[in-house]
Amino acid sequence: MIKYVIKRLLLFIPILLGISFVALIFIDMSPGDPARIIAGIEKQEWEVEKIREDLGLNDPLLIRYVKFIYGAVRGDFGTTYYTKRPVGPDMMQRFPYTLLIATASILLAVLIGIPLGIYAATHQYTWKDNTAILLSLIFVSVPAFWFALLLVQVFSVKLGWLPVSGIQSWTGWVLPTLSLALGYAAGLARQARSNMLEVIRQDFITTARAKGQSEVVIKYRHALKNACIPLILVVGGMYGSALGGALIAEVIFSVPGLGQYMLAGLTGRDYPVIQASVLFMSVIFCLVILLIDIAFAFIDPRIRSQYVRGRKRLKGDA
Amino acid sequence: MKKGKKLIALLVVMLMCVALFASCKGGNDNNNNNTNTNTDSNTNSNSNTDSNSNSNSNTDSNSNSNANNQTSTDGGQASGIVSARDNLTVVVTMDGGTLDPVYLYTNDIQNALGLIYDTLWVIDENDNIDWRVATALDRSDPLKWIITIRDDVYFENGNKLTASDVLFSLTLVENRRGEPALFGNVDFDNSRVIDDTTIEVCFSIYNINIVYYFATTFLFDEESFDYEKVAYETMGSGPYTLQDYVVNSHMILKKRDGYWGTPALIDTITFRVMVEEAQRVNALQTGEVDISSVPFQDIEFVKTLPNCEVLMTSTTMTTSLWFNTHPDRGLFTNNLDARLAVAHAIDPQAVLNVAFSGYGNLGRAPYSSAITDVFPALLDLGIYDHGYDPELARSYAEKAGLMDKTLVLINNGSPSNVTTCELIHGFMKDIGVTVEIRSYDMGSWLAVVFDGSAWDMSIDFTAGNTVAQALQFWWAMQAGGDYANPDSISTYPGKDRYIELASDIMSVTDRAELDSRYQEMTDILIESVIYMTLVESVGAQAYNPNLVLPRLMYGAIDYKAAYWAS
Repeated sequence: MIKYVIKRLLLFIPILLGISFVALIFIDMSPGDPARIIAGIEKQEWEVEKIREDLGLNDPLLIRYVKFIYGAVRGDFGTTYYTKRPVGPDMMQRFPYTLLIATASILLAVLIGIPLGIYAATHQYTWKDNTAILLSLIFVSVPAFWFALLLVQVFSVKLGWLPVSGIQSWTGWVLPTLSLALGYAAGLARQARSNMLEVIRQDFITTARAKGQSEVVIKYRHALKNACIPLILVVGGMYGSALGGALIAEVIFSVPGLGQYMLAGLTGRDYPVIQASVLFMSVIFCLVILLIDIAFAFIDPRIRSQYVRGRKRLKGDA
Repeated sequence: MKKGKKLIALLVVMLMCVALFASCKGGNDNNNNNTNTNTDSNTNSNSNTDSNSNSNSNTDSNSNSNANNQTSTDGGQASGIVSARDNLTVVVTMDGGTLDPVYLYTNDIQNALGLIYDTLWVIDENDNIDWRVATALDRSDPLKWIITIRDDVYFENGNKLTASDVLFSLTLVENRRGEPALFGNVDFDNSRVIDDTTIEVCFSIYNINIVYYFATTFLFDEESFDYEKVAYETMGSGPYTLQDYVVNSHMILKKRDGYWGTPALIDTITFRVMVEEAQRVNALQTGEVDISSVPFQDIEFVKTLPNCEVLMTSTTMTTSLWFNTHPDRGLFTNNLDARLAVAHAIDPQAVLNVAFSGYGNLGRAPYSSAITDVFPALLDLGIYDHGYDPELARSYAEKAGLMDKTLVLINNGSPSNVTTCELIHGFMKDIGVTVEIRSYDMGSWLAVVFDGSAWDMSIDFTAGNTVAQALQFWWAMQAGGDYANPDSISTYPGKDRYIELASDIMSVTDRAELDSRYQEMTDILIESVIYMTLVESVGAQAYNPNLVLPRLMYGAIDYKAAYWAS
């Protein structure tokens, strides 16, 4: 298993190099000149050219790429064009907020979505199932920004229970978390329902029934365990993208996370911010996927057995 | 049991329906008609750094300055004002991501930092110097200013603010900016500290903007200044101290004990970042914030809120239509008829009504008429006097050969600009000319607008807090980017004369000569129709009516003197 993890970690290197290079190519191809943005519209071309030179924008693409990678390896992602602040610490300052909101929303989504999906599956074609499907369909379909503003209207403006935005107190976290979580929960519920339905029709469930196992044991010990395995992949993917920046929630509720930072970088053509953010997101996503794979190995006996067999074979060879 | 579950499910669905209904209904349940105060003060969007003075006396005597100083600092205490509430929450629309004033590009946070750091002076609502750390400014030699400062100003760390700190702070801006000189013509090599309370600042060329630049240059403690920490820590000598700052979230300022001047009247001021416009309105509605800008489409609703008054503030920005006269494009180059065809085809009133919800003023000159030193002879001339005329426009278009052409109209993607483009598309269609709209984001638009081969017309802006600056803005446009091409703007006979007049307009100190230049340059721009002002922008600021908010130049709030009347 350790060997597998090391192998996967080493695989990260070409993946991340590739992603950062593609990101740079896209940045280079996209219209917009940060030097002109910094200078403003009325500055003369020689002044803009000076800024361009100072920022290293006149360097060839490959040189810029090598410079970025060389800096990134040493933990130096450059400085932002506008505030002259180092990008690395800037991102680290914002990441805890994104981590908190992403973790809270995913946890809430799991707590709501999976039980709802399982419940719907075990009551298939009843009004309970239909209600659950309807609710999840609504939450999946509703645009996130509209739903967030709807929550504000209800819980802040009408009821006055929660603040409109801001994270100065814990209550400020409720709406951004909820607005993200309900969307994720709806997706999870639908996935959990379909997984559960697939599992409860399998032969081993019929066998369990034939052996006289109670329905509760069949559902929650045999079926649920198997139905949850693919859900780990879904939850992991959701968590990875949430960590990349829950942009809409961050903007609407003034959560000072990575999403806002990246958006400001994109609109201002702040290349170091964009490059570093893309690389950071890629690392996070790769790590999450690795954790999912490891989790699979622990949960799914079929995958675990591959490692065990490999070890035995290695011992046998010796 | 089953019935109970059914009931719960029904309740959940009902709750959702109620929530949907409640949110769709909106919040118009308050019909309190508050009055709308219109003022001619300018908003803070253009304040502070880029203006020049129209009433520029050469010497401000010591006695006069001290008198001003007394007036400005003793007002609150002398009248015994006590604020009814000790906190104030203000919305800022964006956070630049740093507290380093040198790299700040957001006026909101700049204004907040103005409570932590002192400046030599500020410019008041009436365009006069309001003394802060400085007590006198001797400008008898325009190229050598003598600035005298107070000797009782201390930073938060107890260090005394000296003339050396002032020179350090001025130099700091110049040295650290890393881009074309901010102060332009300040000769820092020859500037010097005369004694602890006096410095001499020299200039290579006189520039009347400098008095405004200095009004927003924050004063640092040279001894404790840390280049790394200044982005997130502050060490000022102002009336407030930074209590908490979370980037892109909030900034909390606390009244500072031991402030050298009259203490502020409100204990805590919280600046909350709210990027989303709808959320600002929601926060006003719930009373979470006391002051916020308001989007045009929500002004009428905000006026109905019981805890809000809306102040319309003029700005010195305009929305304008620019013609591309670059030779690579050619449609408008050396073709006055083509430009007049477009100018007469557009109904600016419709643009104002639709794109700006009726909030703003019609363009009356090639710059905003809200600029402080505009005089009547500069307004309502040429196309600004007899603009919208579709028949005339059609005849010009036919004469100019526009009828079978497709004109590319670009914009920076802001909602009002996109709508303006759509309206222009309709107006041009009315006279038989096709327009293709290309909307970009701000960054892309800035790249495209400097590519002379990519567009024919652009929805743009003019800026400048004085006529001189607005006119020089256009001169700078001709000197910069693709506009720098000597052939690009060759369509008007007065071009050379315009450039000659604009190049040194900032150093003109004689009022009569300045006015004469204004008139001549304005006439050149109007006759050539190189660009056309459509709408003069306004801003809308909602605030709690119980607040007393003294104003500085361009409508910026003087938070230090602000207080709650009840």
